[in-house]
This record gives sequence, structure tokens and C-alpha cells, in this order.
Amino acid sequence: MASWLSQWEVALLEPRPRALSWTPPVYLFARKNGMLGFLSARQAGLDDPLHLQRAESTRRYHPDVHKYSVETVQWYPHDTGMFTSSSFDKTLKVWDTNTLQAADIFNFEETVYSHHMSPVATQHCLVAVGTRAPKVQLCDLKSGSCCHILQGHRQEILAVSWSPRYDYILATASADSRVKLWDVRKASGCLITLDQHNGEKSQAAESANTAHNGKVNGLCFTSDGLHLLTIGTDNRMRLWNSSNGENTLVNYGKVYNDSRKGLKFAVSCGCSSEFVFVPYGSTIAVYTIYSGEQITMLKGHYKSVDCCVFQSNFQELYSGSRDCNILAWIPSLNEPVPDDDGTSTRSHLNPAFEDAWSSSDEEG
Amino acid sequence: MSRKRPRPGAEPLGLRRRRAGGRAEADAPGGAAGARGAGGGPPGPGAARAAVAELGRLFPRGLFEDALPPIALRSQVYSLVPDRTAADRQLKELQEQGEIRVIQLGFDLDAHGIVLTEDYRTRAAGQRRSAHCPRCRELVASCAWSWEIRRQAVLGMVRKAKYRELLLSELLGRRAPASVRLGLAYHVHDLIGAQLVDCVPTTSGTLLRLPET
Repeated sequence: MASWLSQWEVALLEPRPRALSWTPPVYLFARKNGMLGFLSARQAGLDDPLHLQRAESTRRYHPDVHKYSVETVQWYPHDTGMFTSSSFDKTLKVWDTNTLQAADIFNFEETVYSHHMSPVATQHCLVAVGTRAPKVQLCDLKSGSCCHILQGHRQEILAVSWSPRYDYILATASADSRVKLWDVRKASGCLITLDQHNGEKSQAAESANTAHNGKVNGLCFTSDGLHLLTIGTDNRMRLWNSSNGENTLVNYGKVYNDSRKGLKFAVSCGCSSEFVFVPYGSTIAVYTIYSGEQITMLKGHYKSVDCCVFQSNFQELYSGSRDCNILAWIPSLNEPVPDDDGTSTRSHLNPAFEDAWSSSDEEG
Repeated sequence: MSRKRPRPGAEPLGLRRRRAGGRAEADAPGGAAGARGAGGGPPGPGAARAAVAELGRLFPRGLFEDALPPIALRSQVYSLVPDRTAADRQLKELQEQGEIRVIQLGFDLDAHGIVLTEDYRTRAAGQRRSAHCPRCRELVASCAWSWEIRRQAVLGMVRKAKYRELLLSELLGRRAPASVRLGLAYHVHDLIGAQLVDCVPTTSGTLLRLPET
């Protein structure tokens, strides 16, 4: 895939969107001042612009509205009847989409940085929650209790992510530079702590057994669940084999990251070579996952980008930024024509979209 | 929106010289032989080794009383071999085969110095036959410390320029500040490979620009 994406409709939102989640055909976004909203996306054919319309949002006087910045939102993985949101006001709220009321509220002792529900699990309804406390809490949506705790980290948990391959495997990333993989059925601690040096003892003592040389604030499994990408404040992104915790040593170069909270990045699903889309300042950097090559930087936002989410059905990327915009990025269907080529009057269509049928007008 | 296809990443210094058909720029390295096969394919297997040899030639002899072997830096290898993953893999193979040694330059966990083993042995043999003699370690430490100062000095030259960008040819043509003893080309390779400056191809040559972030 050579030429990349063009941006389309811009939805102006204020204040800034902090988190995005999608399930076709509706987008859910979270705002910094605690409000939530929906955007409905309709697509009528490849040539028409994508229309994003604000369908509904909570208002400031809503009784269940979050008091502080909403950090993470997620649709219930199996249908759109429910979604969850977690916020700096130390709560995780479970919402009923149709009535837009909070169906359940989980309270925590510390601010919540991140939460995640397993996209594949059918045996359990656990939500993993990462807070400023060094323990990971699992809340059960069926019973409403959250007494299952995973101990092991030493500082705040900045990102959590369930594996898209196995029901019970969870990855957590913390400010203590460590990333741990857990099987939540096991009582005795984590399965693997990722080590960037793969066990070589010759490195400096303080970086032993750490995944990054700084806080780890982003986690994303690849769509098949076999690899895990982590991103840290040491400006590095690393790719790990999720079955044995080995650092694959793919080098993406400097991936600038100054976020003090979690960084939400996305991987593609269904492309021939998978891509990862990482917010990089006010642009989005696109890398090929397994070779580490930087494909391009998507420029369009005016301030720093906070979150990206990829929709695999239409192969689109949505990004939210501090400039109060959400941008939709689509793959470019036409090869870009050089500006100085005055002879070509017809833009060259990507060969994948050309048909090989002859026109019936030409025959006979 | 610009319709031109954006060029991802920078082209290495050496590669530009080579493809220009030997346009003479005496103070820049002559081109990384073998770093790119046809100027577009993946790096050949000898690319990292050729890069280390090339960079070793840039290191000024006679510095530090001739007691140090020519040290190349990992970030410099990245500027000559753009595919970092392949460069890392080749350097690791060379290290396992015993052809190079990788030294941690104390202050920064990512700063690694690369020395060809034969150079290392000749120098160490000239000392007291001990590969870890205190004098060697002192020299490496002082080299590392002075290298960091010089690197910031060269970066400062770009920072002070108007619009914080400078043509590569202009930077190399300037008189190096008196403190920079390792040579401007040496430090420029390091800055490019460590992504402390962005390389922007222009019609007047490569432009070095400080990143906005």
C-alpha cells in the first residue's frame, strides 16, 4: 500500500475529546469535562463523504454525569445496549444506551486511568480497571462486585488491555516501567513480566526486568492477539511476542511521547501488512508493525492528538485531539497525481479498483 | 492538502552522495558502499559492517593520545542504514560472531559505542595487555562525556539558525566550534541517526530541521 489517507469530515466538539470507541455504525466519545456523546456514522457509497452527526450526548445537568475528565470509554463488546466510562472522579459508570442513564457505578479509592472489557470473553464479564493505586482491580458486571485484585505493580497503572485471543489473559502497564501479563484465574501473581533485554544480565541494574526506560503508558494487542505493542515515555515503542514475553527487537525509532496519562493508539485489522497508528505530537505516525518502517505522518490536527481508533469494517481511522476535533481518515483510492504533470487530465485510479471488463460500446 | 506523495523518513547522507554520481563534497563521507544495493532495496547483509568501517574512518586518529580505537555510535549506523530493525539485527550478529564490541557509554542507556574487535585488540595490546585497564576506561569515559558536550554544541548550531533549520552542506561547510574535536560530519551522523534533527529533502540538498516536539 503506497499512498495513504485523506481526511474527511470534521466534527467540531468542545471541549476536547479524550477517548473514542466504535461499534458500527455509532461512535462513542468522551470529553474532558466529563460529558459523553455519540456520533452516528452513515456511509452512502464510496464517493460520498462520511456524515458524522451528533446523535445524543449527556448534558451538564445530567444527574449521573462524570465530574472530571473522562479517560476511557468502551462499548459493551457484544452489542450497543450498554457502554462503560471511567473518569478521574474515581468512578467507573456502566450506562444504558437507550435511556442514557447510569445502570451501575463502581467507586474506587484513586483516580481511574484506564479500563477495558474483554472483546472475546463469553465466560466472564470482568472489567479490568487501572487506577493510581498499584493494584489492578477486576469488576464483575454481572454481580456488581469488584473484589478481585491483581497485585504486583509498584506504581500507578496507566493502561490495561485484555487479549483478543484468550478469554482470561490480561496485560497491564504501569508507571514503574513494567508490563505484566496475567491469567486472571491464577491466584499467585502474574504470568510474565516483560523484559526489554530478554534476560541479558549485562545491562545496567536499574533497567533489569523493565519493559521501557520510563513509564509505560500505552498497550495494544495486535488483532490476532499474538503480539503486544507497548509504548513508553522513553520515546520508544516495542513489539513483544505475547506467548513467551520475548522482545522481538523491532526498532521503530523515536516515538515521541510526553503524555503523563495513558496514550491510546490503535492497530489496523485486515490489512495485508498490519499498521499501528500512534499519536505523535499533533500528527499521527503510521508504522508497519512487523518491520518497524515508518510509512507516513498524518497531519491534520492543530494540537496534540490524544486518541486513535481504527474501524476495520471500512478501514478507517478516527482520531481525537486537544483542538476539539475528531478527524476521520480513509485510505486514498486514487494515486496522487504530481502537480506539475499538466498532460494527465484524468486521475489514475489505483489498479486494485480497475476492472478488466471491456466496454460493450466498443464492440461491434 | 498537498497531493504529492510524502516521502517517509530521511535518506542517509552516504546514499545521497552515491546516487549523485560522485558529486564532490569532500568533507562528507563518500557513500556507504553496500548500504543499499540499488538505492531502494532492503539493506544487504554487509550493510552494518560497511557502515561501522565507514564511520571508523571518520573518527579522528591521534585523539586522546592515540589510545582509543575508532569508536562508531549506534545512532550513526542508523543514519547510514535506514532500516533500524535490520541494522540492529546485523549488529547483534556481528557482536555474536565477535567482529565488533559494543560499549555502553555511561550516561545514556541507549548510547552504545561500537568498536571493531581488531582495532580494539591492537589498541589494548599497545596498552598493558588488559582489555579493562583503568586508563582505557577513563579514556572511554572522558570520550563519552566530551562527545555529549560536542553533540549539544552541534545541535546548538542548528538551533540558533533562522527558523531552526540549516542546509546540511552549509552546516558541514561551517567552521567547527573549537570544542568540537571529533569532526562535524561525525556528529551530524549521530544527530540524524538519533532523530534529534529531521532530514528534509529539498532542491538545494538535505535540510536539517529541529523537530517541533
